Amino acid sequence: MADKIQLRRDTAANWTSANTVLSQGEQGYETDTGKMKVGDGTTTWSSLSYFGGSTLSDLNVTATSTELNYVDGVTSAIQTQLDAKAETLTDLGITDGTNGQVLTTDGSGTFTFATASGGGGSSFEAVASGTLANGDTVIVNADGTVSAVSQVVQTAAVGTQVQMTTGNVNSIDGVSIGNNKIAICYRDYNNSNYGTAVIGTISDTTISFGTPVVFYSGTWNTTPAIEWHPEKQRLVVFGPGLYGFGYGYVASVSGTTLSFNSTAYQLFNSTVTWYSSVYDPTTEQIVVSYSPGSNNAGVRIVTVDESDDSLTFGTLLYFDAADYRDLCMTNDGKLVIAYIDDNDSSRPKAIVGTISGTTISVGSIATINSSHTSSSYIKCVFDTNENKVVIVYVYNSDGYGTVGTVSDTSISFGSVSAWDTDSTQFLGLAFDSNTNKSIVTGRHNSVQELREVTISGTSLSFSDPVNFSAGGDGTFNVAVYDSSSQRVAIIYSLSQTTGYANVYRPSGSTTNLTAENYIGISDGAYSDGANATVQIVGSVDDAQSGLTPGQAYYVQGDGALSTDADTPSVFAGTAVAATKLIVKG
Amino acid sequence: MKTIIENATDISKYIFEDDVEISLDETSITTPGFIIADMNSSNATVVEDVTPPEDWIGCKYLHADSEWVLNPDWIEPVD
Repeated sequence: MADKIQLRRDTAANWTSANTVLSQGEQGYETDTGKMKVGDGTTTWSSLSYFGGSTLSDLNVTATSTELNYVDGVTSAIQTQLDAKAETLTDLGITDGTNGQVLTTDGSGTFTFATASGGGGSSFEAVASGTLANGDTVIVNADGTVSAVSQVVQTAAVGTQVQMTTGNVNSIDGVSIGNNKIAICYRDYNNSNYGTAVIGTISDTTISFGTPVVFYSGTWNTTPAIEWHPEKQRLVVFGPGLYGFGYGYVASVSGTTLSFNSTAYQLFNSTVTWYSSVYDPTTEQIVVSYSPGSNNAGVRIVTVDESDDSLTFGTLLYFDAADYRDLCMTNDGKLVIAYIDDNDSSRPKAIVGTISGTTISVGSIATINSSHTSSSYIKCVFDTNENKVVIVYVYNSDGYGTVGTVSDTSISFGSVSAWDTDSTQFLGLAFDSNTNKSIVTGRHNSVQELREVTISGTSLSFSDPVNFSAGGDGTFNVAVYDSSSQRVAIIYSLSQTTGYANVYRPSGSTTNLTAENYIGISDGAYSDGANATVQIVGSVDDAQSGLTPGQAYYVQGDGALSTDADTPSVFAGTAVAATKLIVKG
Repeated sequence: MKTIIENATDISKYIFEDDVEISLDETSITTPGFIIADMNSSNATVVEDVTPPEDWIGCKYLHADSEWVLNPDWIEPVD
């Protein structure tokens, strides 16, 4: 068992009272303070210093005893010390600003008072695509970057005529397939009338073509139809096959290379003529229409299976007798069939179809103009901006047009007006969703012309004609709008010798503003690629001028603010001062 | 000249000059100006050194045993 050594000890008061003289080297311990003294054989207890030093400097402590006592005294003393040492931010070395300024940081430990750039509220940071000025209205792009709302004014231009084929073509149809490309099918006159397809690539106002592909080495003797299924990424061509029966051909596209399924799918087991088609984005199906006989025309759903490039067909609905015929889809998923009624003195008519699964039902027939007997070349497109149908046709060798308004399963028409009064034929029609105009193409005497068509209420207005091919008698004049290039391609046969194409750039202004992409106002000036702060809903921007407090303001297509809504209507916010706007939207 | 014959029917589908290069593979036939997607090395044959009828047009004649015969199913195409 170890020995225990205990020091001489007592309370501090008793040590002081006794005032003992400790022997040299003898230790005395205060049991209530924990302190200790060591004797020298002559000095009394009260005169001895505590072991280890008598002053703070003896312990290498720089703080004063008062300061140490503050620490020892915890809260109240520390608060007093802090109050004395750092009562204001200037006590921390930050230079004071002016009234109303806010403290900012450079992110590296330097704090500065600065004038607030906005009125506060929420903000959003993103990389700027293009430059942003303080106070600019801002959109978010598809890639997450932000840009100032801006508008580009586009002047109309027709590109140079491009030869598509070395020989004559006939029975042409075309469709946009995206990525600045269109697909065209035609009857190749110089190759035994075989069914042929080719991909065209649009570059500004010109077009180039890949290698043509014969997908049916047999006679094509009627107008075909070609449609693109954007979801399945398949091209479907409707046209004659064996014995002239109706067939559907499926192809995939890679660049300008077409790969057709070796199997053609029989659409009708008898001779079929005059094909037309449209893609229905609502049900993601294709609608095809054709004339299986001289006294009737039918329409049916086509379902594409991309796994084996096969086609299946819904029930064929006979709706009337019509060779000249065209289809379009409304914003509400209604099918519009515009046609020339062969059983009623070739009057122009239209009906509305409702698609349910793979079945189509139609409403009552509406006649566009009962006086226009012996009409022909009817075309229709849907103006997605005006939510109305544009219909053009030829009557008595003149071009006519009207606006169709669809309500449930019926369609009504506005005034019918003539737009060309001199030997009009072979019409094409496309809707440009960028400039919200339709483009009608056609042969006028012996030249090929186009016009821009706009809807005003229930009437159409037509621009002056633009000549896209001076010589020859053009036929077909198929117009295809490609939204990716924002151009209209026109494909036609000239003088029955050669296939040609032109690219048209419609006039108009285009904006990057949509009904959905406005997010707020730029909180400063930023260069392209910089990290930009955007004041979003709930914040107050103070970089405006000339606003009227209490007024609602809308973002214009060019990015400006106005009390009048532009198209599309985008609410920017409410002014609270001439320079300040509460961001809403 | 040379012609491409559809094996199952002997129908002469295409005519080319002798010096035109034609390539048949499993999925298609490639010619200098276009691709034939519905004919290939399995269903078609190239016959060389032929002299087609003056009014030859695709599908109008059969070619078998070095003889040209009018296709009994032929219908003149309309413009």
